[in-house]
Amino acid sequence: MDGFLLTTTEEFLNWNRKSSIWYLLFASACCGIELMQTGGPRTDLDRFGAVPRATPRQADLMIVAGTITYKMAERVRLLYEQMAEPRYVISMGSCANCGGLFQSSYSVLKGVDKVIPVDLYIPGCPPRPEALADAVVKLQAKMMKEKYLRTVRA
Amino acid sequence: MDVQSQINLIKGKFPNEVLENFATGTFVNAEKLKAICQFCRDNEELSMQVLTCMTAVDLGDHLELVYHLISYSKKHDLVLKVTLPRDNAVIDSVESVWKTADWQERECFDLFGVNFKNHPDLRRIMLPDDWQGHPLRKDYTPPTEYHGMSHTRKNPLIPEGQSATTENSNG
Repeated sequence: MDGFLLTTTEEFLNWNRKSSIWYLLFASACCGIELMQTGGPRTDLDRFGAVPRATPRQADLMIVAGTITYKMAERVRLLYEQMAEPRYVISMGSCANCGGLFQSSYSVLKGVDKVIPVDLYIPGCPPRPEALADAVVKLQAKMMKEKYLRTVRA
Repeated sequence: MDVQSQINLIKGKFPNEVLENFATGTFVNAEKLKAICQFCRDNEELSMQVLTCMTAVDLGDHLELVYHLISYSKKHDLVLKVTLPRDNAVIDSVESVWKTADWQERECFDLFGVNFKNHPDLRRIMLPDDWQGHPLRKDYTPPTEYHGMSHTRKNPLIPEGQSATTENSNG
């Protein structure tokens, strides 16, 4: 045998998880354009194993890209609840973080963390694709630190 | 055809219903709006095939409804306006004249609370069905929460104890 690798089961599982972050193909405003850019050739989310999924049932990550109105907020919560655990949320851009430019509007939710728990916030209006790629890398780092076997329910 | 000749044409048919003019159109009697619209569409010389925009303006003491008509064949346009009282804003729907008025009137109902008589499906188009009030009215006060979602958020840059929330205000 030329060489061998040593690891723990937990680390191995976490490595698998972080190498296949499937995110929900979901955008509610102009941040969605940057989200598409991030999947494009420059930042290329695919190289992290992050690919868009068209259904929340197959998604690990929800990137909330854009303004959320109260009408949409209830749909966002539903989509989040449909995702299988463990699930993660990135709040992308000022609107998803706090309502942003539209926070004085009667119909805009002042931050998506009012309806679902958020793991990472990206500032910017909109954030550049590099910022979103960085958030995915940070999420990978977060996943690696988790005690997956102890947190997940059998 | 210029605006004045268009107005004169309508005046010929509805002598008492055409009120004061402005640069791009005229005020008309709200009671007869639908008949005038029908005339504008069917008259050979006017041929207003399209209602491009239908909206309302809240001027504080009354509402003003604005109808933008254009004719592709005659290459001209006209604006019709009517005034409505704020507390009893009711007008005939022009959905039977131009199909496009359906959603435009629903939007106007949603945001201004104008009731369109004989509209086939008058319900909110953008806001949730259970929303209270009509937001583009000048006296609208936004609710403090919607389905348990609060309308306020603490501003992290302002220290504790001071009024430190982003609220629904004009500020």
